[in-house]
Amino acid sequence: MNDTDVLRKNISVMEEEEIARRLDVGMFSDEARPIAEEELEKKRGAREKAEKEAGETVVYRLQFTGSGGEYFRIWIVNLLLSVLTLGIYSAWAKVRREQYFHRNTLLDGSGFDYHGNPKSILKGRIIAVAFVAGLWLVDHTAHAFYYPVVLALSPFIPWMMIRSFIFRSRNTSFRGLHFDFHGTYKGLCKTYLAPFIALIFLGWAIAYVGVMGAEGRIRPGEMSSMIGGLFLLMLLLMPMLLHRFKRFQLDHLAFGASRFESHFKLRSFYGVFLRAFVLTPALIGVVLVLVFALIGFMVAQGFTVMGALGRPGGGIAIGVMVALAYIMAISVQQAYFAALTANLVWNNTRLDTHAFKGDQAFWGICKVAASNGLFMFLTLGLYWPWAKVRLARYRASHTAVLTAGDFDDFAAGAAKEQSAIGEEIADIFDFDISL
Amino acid sequence: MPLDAHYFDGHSSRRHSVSLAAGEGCLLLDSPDGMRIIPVADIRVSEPQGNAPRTLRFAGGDAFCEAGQGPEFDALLAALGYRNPVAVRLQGRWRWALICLGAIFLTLVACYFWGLPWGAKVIAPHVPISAMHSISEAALAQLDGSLLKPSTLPEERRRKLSEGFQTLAAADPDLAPFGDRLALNFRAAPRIGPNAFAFPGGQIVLFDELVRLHDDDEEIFAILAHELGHLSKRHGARRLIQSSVIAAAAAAWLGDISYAAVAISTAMLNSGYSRDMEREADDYAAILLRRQGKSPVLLANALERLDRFYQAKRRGTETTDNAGEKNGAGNTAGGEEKENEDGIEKYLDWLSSHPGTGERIRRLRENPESADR
Repeated sequence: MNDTDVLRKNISVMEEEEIARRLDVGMFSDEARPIAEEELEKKRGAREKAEKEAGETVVYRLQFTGSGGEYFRIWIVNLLLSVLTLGIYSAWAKVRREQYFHRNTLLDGSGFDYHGNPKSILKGRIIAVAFVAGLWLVDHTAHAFYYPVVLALSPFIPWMMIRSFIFRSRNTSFRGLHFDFHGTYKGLCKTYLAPFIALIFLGWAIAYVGVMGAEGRIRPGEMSSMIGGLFLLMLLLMPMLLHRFKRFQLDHLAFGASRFESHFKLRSFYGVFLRAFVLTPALIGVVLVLVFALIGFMVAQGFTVMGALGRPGGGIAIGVMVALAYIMAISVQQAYFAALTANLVWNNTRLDTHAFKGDQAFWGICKVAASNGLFMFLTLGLYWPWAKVRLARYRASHTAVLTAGDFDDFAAGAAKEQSAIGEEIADIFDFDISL
Repeated sequence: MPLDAHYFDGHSSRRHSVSLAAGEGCLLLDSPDGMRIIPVADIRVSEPQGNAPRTLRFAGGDAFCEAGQGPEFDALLAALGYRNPVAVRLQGRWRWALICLGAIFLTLVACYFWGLPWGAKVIAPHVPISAMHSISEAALAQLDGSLLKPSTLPEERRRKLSEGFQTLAAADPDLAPFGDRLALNFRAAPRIGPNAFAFPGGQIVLFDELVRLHDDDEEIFAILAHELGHLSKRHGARRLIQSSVIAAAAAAWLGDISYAAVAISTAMLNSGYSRDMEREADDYAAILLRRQGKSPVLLANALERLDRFYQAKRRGTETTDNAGEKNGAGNTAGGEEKENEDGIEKYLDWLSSHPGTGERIRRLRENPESADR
């Protein structure tokens, strides 16, 4: 019996959850990992089959089969061709990227697919670039008209968002059926406009109070308490905004002829914000204490901060450490916030008789995102494809569909061709439109 | 040998088990419902995406087959005469990926050092001065409300400086498009110290502190010649174009990591351009001064005086002592003193927008002919 067989035998006696947990925290050696993944698949398949036959609810986990090295090669070729064609190829590059991530995401053995037409994406991108260039020109040549122009164009923003949702969902398919989006301009304005205007108003008020304080028209103490109060109001508004946004997205999403239904509560979104913005800073606090302890230790060894700052290399070294800590922290914070939101959304969404489950956890996210941040920093961003794949793998393996049976009974809805204009403009203006 | 696959009809999500085999210029699709023959021309094969299942889509409708990858699938594709597109073949090999990486790096370096400065130089003269002027007016008005105070120089001194400034500007025909917008503005800036700067719209601002530091008006004109260089070479418009492109590129590359990373890298990349522009303005000033029969050393002296002022200020000594010194011209002591600090200065050169003053003074002194090129 050779080593591989011994490994396989040892792994095969473990429970499915145990293998999944050990894979998550990276407890397997390089030789053992593929075997563990294989065994996990086997056990998962057997369980799903048994549950299905027994008429129980089956938990189908999403599975991501991509690898960082593979995606790096796709990404780098995309990048070169995009640069050499002055951005024209970027539309084709986008389709390749989307297809890589869609097709490598499997549910019950079948992959998702992306059908965006590169030509309509290119058209959208050209319009988006013209849009941005036009705004830039107005800003720099006729600045007085800039805000009126922005104001005049703002009614198009909800329209672009809707177009972008429709384009994205109609071009995503699973088992030959396309997703669809039924939201309307009016609907989006109704759910989103009031809190959005309130948010902009609060932002403006904070800036205004700041200016008044700087000009000495109000006392510094008054200024800081006013700004604190306004900021708190803004923080209270954010979960509401996200809640409405997610409700709008999910309640108008369809798979074939079946509609998604969401029933998450506003209350839970406050929980998400509280956890993401309290737990992560607390962790960062712990890390900072450790860093200071380390510096303290170094000082005891005869190292002085001022001495290091005085030397060019020392200042750079401290700057690099601070930047690294910042990037790792931001990376964890963003990923954890997204994870909590995803958990909340999936755990409270249904599609016909099917339910969903999201169980991304803090330590799992922390491990993936912190190391992603570290390697991104060390490679000046070249680690990006690996980072993206690792996060996708973690997210997929912690998202599941719960169903009593299988996925055979969905029917197609009426789908039409869509232009990509909305999505591409939204892309440039950096809206979060991902589900 | 037939290949096991799944068939989806596009009307429902039902999964049908089928087997696929290659025939003469066609695909044979064998299902419990019977055999279908599909001509090769009607089949669209998905590109390989790692280990993901591949799809074969059929013309006219959403029907397709999904099959796992492997030697059997490759054999089927080969029998159907399918060939991967170029981009996919590039993506398949690490060697190609590394070549692409190198090519991207070289392209970006070439764009930064040549492409972008060249493009900005070509476009800048076409940016309307009137537009730049109104932005500059707004910026100056904002500074007037905060950092800048009205000048307290005697009327007579200001008139003399303005006349000299106009004579200086008249020597360069490239400044003609600025017309009346080219103006010398006097301001006091006790919180900034001796300095002068040019707005891209043609407004040059001269601080009382600078005028008081230099007893010799010729040195002030040398500094104004440097500022005119920024205008004549359209540095404002070029900076605007370059920094916009750099910010867009940095956001595309690093925007996903953090906005701070974008801001820092943008600032660092822009500072490289700023240093080139300062050198260009120095060279320009040298030419302009020479054209009027003056020596470029005047600018070197003025810079040295400024440098000594700021060094004294940093050390916390009384600044007035220094300003009162009269042995400025030809004194190289300041230059020698800086030799010791050259190490740190060279390194700071990368981070600061002005090249090390020591380097600029040396350039103007040691090689006054270089400006004639």
